[in-house]
Amino acid sequence: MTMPPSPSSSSSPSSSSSAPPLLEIDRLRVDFPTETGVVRAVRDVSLTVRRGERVGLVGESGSGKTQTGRSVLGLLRPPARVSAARLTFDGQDLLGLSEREHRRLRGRRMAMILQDPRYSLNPVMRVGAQVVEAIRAAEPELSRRAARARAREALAAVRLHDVDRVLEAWPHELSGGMGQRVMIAMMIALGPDLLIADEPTSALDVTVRLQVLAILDELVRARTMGLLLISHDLPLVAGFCDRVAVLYAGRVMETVAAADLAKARHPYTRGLMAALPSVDGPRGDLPVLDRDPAWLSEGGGP
Amino acid sequence: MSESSPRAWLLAEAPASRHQAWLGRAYRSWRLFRRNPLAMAGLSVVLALLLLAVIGPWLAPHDPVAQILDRRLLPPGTPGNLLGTDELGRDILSRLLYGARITLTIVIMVAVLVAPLGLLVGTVAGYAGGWLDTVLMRLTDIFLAFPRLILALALVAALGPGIENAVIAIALTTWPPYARIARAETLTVRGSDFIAAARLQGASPIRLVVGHVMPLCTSSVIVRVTLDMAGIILTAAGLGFLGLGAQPPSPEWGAMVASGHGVLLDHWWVATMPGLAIFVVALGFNLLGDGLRDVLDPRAGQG
Amino acid sequence: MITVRDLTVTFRAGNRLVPALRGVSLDVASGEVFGLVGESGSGKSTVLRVLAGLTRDWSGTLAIAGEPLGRRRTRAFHARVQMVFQDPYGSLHPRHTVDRALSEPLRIHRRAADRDARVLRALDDVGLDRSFRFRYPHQLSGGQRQRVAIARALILEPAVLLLDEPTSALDVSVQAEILNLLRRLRSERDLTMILVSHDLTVVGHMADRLAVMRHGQVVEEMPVDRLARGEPAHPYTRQLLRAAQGYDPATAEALLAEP
Repeated sequence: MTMPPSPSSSSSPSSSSSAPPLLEIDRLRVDFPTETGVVRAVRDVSLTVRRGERVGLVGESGSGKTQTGRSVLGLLRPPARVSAARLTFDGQDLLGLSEREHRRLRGRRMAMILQDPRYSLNPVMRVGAQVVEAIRAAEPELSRRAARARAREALAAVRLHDVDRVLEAWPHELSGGMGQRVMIAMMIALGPDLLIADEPTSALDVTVRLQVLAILDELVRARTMGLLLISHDLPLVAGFCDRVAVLYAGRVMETVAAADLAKARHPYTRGLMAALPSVDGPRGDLPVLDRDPAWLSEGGGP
Repeated sequence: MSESSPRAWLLAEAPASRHQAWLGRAYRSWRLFRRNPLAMAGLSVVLALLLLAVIGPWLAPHDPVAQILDRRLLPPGTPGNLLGTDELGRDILSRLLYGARITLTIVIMVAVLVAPLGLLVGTVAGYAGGWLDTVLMRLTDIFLAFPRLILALALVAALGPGIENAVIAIALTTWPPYARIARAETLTVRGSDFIAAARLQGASPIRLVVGHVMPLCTSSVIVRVTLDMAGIILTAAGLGFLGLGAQPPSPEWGAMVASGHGVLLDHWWVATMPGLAIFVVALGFNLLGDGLRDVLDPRAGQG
Repeated sequence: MITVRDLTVTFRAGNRLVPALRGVSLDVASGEVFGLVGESGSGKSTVLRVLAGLTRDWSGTLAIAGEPLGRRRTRAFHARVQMVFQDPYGSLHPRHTVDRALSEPLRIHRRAADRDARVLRALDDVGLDRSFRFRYPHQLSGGQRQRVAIARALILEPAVLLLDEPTSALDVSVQAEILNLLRRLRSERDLTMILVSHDLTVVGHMADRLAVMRHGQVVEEMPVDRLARGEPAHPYTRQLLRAAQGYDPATAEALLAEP
C-alpha cells in the first residue's frame, strides 16, 4: 500500500506556528445511519487552523468537506453522529458543549459564511436591520445605537462604499457580490476568532469572486482570525490559502502548503490538478482521474 | 428461484426493461408507504370496501329490500339480524353490504369524471397561459364560488333525482380545486429545463402537456382525490339524505341515515349503523390519501 | 454555418424594460467550436436561447446554414440544432427513464425504424453502459445525467450543438470526462458547437474562436490562440483572464480599487 506523503512536514510557514492552534481537529468522524447501513461521511479527518492562518479544505462533492465544517460549528443534528479523538477551539472542547453553549460560541467567536447570500438574508427585512439584529443577538447588552455604529464599521470594513444606501436596502436590491459582502460584514461585526466559509464565492462571478476573497484576505490579516475555506476550486484555494487539506471520500488524502499544490505528491491531488482545463495548455484530451480503491483505506491525517 | 429474488429483481439498480423499471419504482414507493401504519390502516379499509362491494351480496344474510313488517326495528344483536332491522323490517347488515357497491360506484364514477377533467383544464391553462388561461381559470372560479351542496341540489332538481344525476352533480361541483392544483403544479414545471429540452426536440404542445406536464401533476391530483373521497361520500350521503340521490328502496348509506333519522331517539341503530359505515370509509380514504401524499408528493423527494 | 446579426432582446421586468442583448453579431463557421464567455447578466445564455427558439421576443437576423430563422421553428430545425443545458439535475424529466428520454426525439420525428438499436448506440456513443437504459434520473450521478442529456441532444444527428454551461455543475474530474466526450463527438460527427461558459479555461480548452460578452454586447472576438498567448485586446478580457487563473492578491486588490 502506498503511504500518503507525510503531511506534518508542510505545516504553516507563518510566524505563529509555536502557539497552540486555534482549531484542532483530530480524527473526526461523522456517520449518518440510514436504512441501508451507516454512511461514513467523514472518516478520521485531522486538521489544525492557527490564528491568522488560511486553511483550505478542498474536495469534490460528497468528499465530506461541508460536514467537517458543520461539525466544528455544532450544526449537525441527530441522526448524524459526530465523534473525534479531539475537537477543540482555542483549547475548549467542542464535543462536550451543549446546544446552548455552542450557539453562544457560534455567535461571538466562530462564524460561518455560506455559499449563496440570497438564501442567508431575510428577504422581508432591510439589510441594516438584519445586521443590527445579528449583532444584538450575540451581544444583547449593546444599545441599538452602538449596534448600528458597529454595523456601519463592519460594512465599511468589507469595502462597501455607500454604507447608508446598503443599510437601507432590501436584500433583493443587492447584487450577489454585495450580498456576500454584507454576510461577511455581519459575521465579522462580532469579532470572531475563527471564520468558516463554505464555498463563499462559488455563486459569484469570477471578478466578484476575487473581490470578496480580497476582503476576506484583508480581514484575516488585520484581525488575525483563523479561516477555514471549504471549496471545490483548487486553483482558487491554491492562490488564496496558506495550507490545503485535500479530501476524498471523507478522508484527508494529503495536507500541503498551498504554494506546493502544483507539486503535490498524492495521485488524487495530482489527478485533480491535471484534470483542470487551462487557457494555454495542450488542447488534447484532459487526463481523466482514475480513482484508486486503495485511497479509501489510507489517509487519516497526521 | 429463491424467496428474495423477486425483490432483488424489483430493486435492481439496472433494470433490464421498461416494465422492470416501472415496477421497481412502484415497489420502492410501496416500501415507503408500508412503513406508515395509519396509511396501511386506510388502505385496508378501502380494500375491505372493494372486497365487500364484490362479494357483499353473497355474504348478506337477507334480501336488502325484503320488508318483514313484524320484524321492524329490532335492536342490534338480535339473532338473524346482527345489526338490527330498520323501520320496514329490512336487515341493516344486508343493506349495508349491498350499499357498499352503490357507495363505491358513486366514488369511482366521481373520481373518473373529476380527476381527468380537472387535470386537463389545469394543465392546459397553466401551460398555455395568456387568454386561454384567463378564460379557463375564470370558469373555474365561477364553479368554485357556488356553494357545493346548493349547486348539486340545483342540478339534481333540474335533472331529476337518482344516483347518476347525483354523480354528475357532485362531479360538476368537485373539479375546480383539481384544476387549480394542476395549474399550480404546471406553473412550477413549465419553466424547467426538461420542458425546454422537450420543446427543443420539436415536441408538440399536446405531447408536452400529456407526456411531460401531466405525469408530474397526477400525483398531487390523486392525493387530493383520495382526500376528497370522504367529502364525496358525505355529499352523496347528503343528497341521499335529502332524497335527491339514490331513491328508496335502494340501500345507499346516506339514504339509510335519512330514513333512520325519524326514529333516531328511540331506535338509534337505524341511522347510526350506516352513519358508522360512512365514517369508517371516509376515514379510511383520508388516511390513505395522507399516506399517498407522503409517498407521491414530488416535493417530498424522488418517487 | 450560424449567422447572428444585430440581435436585440429586451426583457420586461414588471413595468421596466431591461435590455438583455444590444445588437449582438456573430459568425460561426461550419465545424467550428465557438465560445461565448461572460459573467452573469452578460447575455451569453440569451443568445443561445434565442438561437434555439426558446426565447421568442427578439429582433435582428438569424440564419443557420444560410436559411433565415423566424420566430417559430420548424420540426426540421429541431432535428438540425440541439442544446445541452447547464443543470443535469433539471434537464431530465424526473419521471422518464433514460430509454424514454432518448427514444422520445425519435418518436417525435417519426423515425420508427430501429429505434431500440439507435437508443443503444446513443448510450454507447456517450460512454454509458447499456444497463443504464431503464434507469430513472435519480438513479444517476451528475456526470451520468449530463451524458444522457448529450446523448438525447445527439440522437437526431444534428449539425449544430448548443452548449449552455455544460460542465459548470460538475466536479472537476467529471468535467474533464465530459469535455473529452464533447471533443471526441465533435471530431467524429463534424459538429458545429457554440459553447457558453463563465469559465475562460473551459472555453480556452475547447473553442477555436471566442467572443467575450458584457452587458448584452460583444466586447471582443478573437481566435483562441490569442487568449492562450495572453494577448486579448480588451482590458475586460484581460481582467477575466487573470481572474480565471486563480487567486492572486495583486489582481484582487486592483479589482477592489475599481469603482
